[in-house]
Amino acid sequence: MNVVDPMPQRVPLGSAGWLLYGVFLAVFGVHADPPGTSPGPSVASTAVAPAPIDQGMAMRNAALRDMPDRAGKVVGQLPANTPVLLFERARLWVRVRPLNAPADTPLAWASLLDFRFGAAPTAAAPAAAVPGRPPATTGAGGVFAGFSRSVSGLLAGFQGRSRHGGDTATIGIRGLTSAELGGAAPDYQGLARMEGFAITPQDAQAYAFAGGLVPQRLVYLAAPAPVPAAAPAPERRPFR
Amino acid sequence: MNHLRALSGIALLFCAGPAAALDLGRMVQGLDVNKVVEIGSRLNASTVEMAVPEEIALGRDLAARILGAAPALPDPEIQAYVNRIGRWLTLHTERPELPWHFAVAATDTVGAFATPGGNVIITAGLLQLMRDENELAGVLAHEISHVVHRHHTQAIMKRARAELATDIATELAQQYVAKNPLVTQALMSTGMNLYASGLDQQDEFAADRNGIIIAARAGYDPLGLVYLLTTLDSVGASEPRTQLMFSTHPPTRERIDRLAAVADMVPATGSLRDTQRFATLQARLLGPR
Repeated sequence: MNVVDPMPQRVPLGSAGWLLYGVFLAVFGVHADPPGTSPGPSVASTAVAPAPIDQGMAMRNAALRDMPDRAGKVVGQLPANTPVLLFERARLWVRVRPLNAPADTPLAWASLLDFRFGAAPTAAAPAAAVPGRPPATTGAGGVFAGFSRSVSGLLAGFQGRSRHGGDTATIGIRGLTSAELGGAAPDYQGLARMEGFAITPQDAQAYAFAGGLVPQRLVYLAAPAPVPAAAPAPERRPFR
Repeated sequence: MNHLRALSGIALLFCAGPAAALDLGRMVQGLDVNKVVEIGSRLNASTVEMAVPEEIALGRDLAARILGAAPALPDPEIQAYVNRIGRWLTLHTERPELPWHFAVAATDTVGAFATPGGNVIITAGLLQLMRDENELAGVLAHEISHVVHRHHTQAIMKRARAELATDIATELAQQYVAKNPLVTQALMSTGMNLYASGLDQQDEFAADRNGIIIAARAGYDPLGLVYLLTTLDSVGASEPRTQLMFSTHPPTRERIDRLAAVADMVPATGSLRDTQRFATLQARLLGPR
């Protein structure tokens, strides 16, 4: 297999990782289509794999397919709570590989809805399988403990007001509660600054076109019809 | 006692209509009761919408209060960037003529706010979670949709109808000699409570649904918001910084499921070519200074 390892650092596999790898290989090694036989993107393609763009976690058992479509052949199952690397998105489909699987493990497509993804980049992120992103964990604070980072750059230099009062804080607001929001005093100077940020429609259009954006004409979608209430269960009467 | 009689009269006038207000207006010196009753009467009419100038004025006051809790990030480049994206999105709505303003608030709380008349504030904490400009457009389009479809003004008026009769009476009893900010104060209070408690869930679902269309009209990936919601779903409600958002919005997984059902039907141009400009912006937000 001529697969370029997209991961800057190979993640060492623990015993659980090897077990998962074994399961995964058993699934893919047996059932994956030979390259070029699938009608769509191949799960077992030997082409150079793209770099991972994110990492996530299977929320439930996820069917793995050889193409991003329900018509795709099911090539395996990913157990719930398996951490994965995300390589590609195609509409509501994601191309993934278990986080701890070897880099030459074929990628497979799964439904986006079966996963949670995400952890934002940070300059202070610890070493991770995805460059710039923290590793997935299942510790406290959500699926990704790595999320508990701060907006360290700008807020660190922001001489903002502290919601705890007193002297000016050297950080931005570290939290905003509904009570603080509901009881806030108006800042009309801040409003004037915000209004000073305004952009003309011409400038906005020029910026959009410079970025390649092409508008299209679409109508709003109607709200989906409400699901009819389930018919009441027939009353059970005791035998007479 | 006279005050209480006047207050009772005002409460009745909410049902009686503006004609009778003229007499009462002469009864209470120093108070523009006609104004109170006029607004109260209009609030009482469920089909009447707030006039655009009033909507803009109310929205400015509400935005000032939000900024009072979370000031704008003092970075002109980031603010200009978000304004360019936001203003472009508004050009693909039914209300491009509103005085639209956007800001990034300097808080790591995850959230976004829209106020009537064209003000949208997103937090730095939310911005740092995004992967690309499509996700930013998804959030801005959701908030813009709230403004375009007057979700907040309708909710404020609906709540005010239920609360004003008693609240204004209470306010008047305490400070009836004030000029006429009473109704404004009551609306402001109702409005800020709205940001703390959240809109009706159906309004949030509608803003999700309409927002993906606005984003797609502007050339963005309509699934940008869906992708961001999968990130928010992974963060979960246990993070202190997400509690405000999760407490004021429908369950994230339900939003994803509902959006996915419709977003996949929206044609995506995927036309955004410049992906570097978002990366540059986010590096400014995240990098050391």
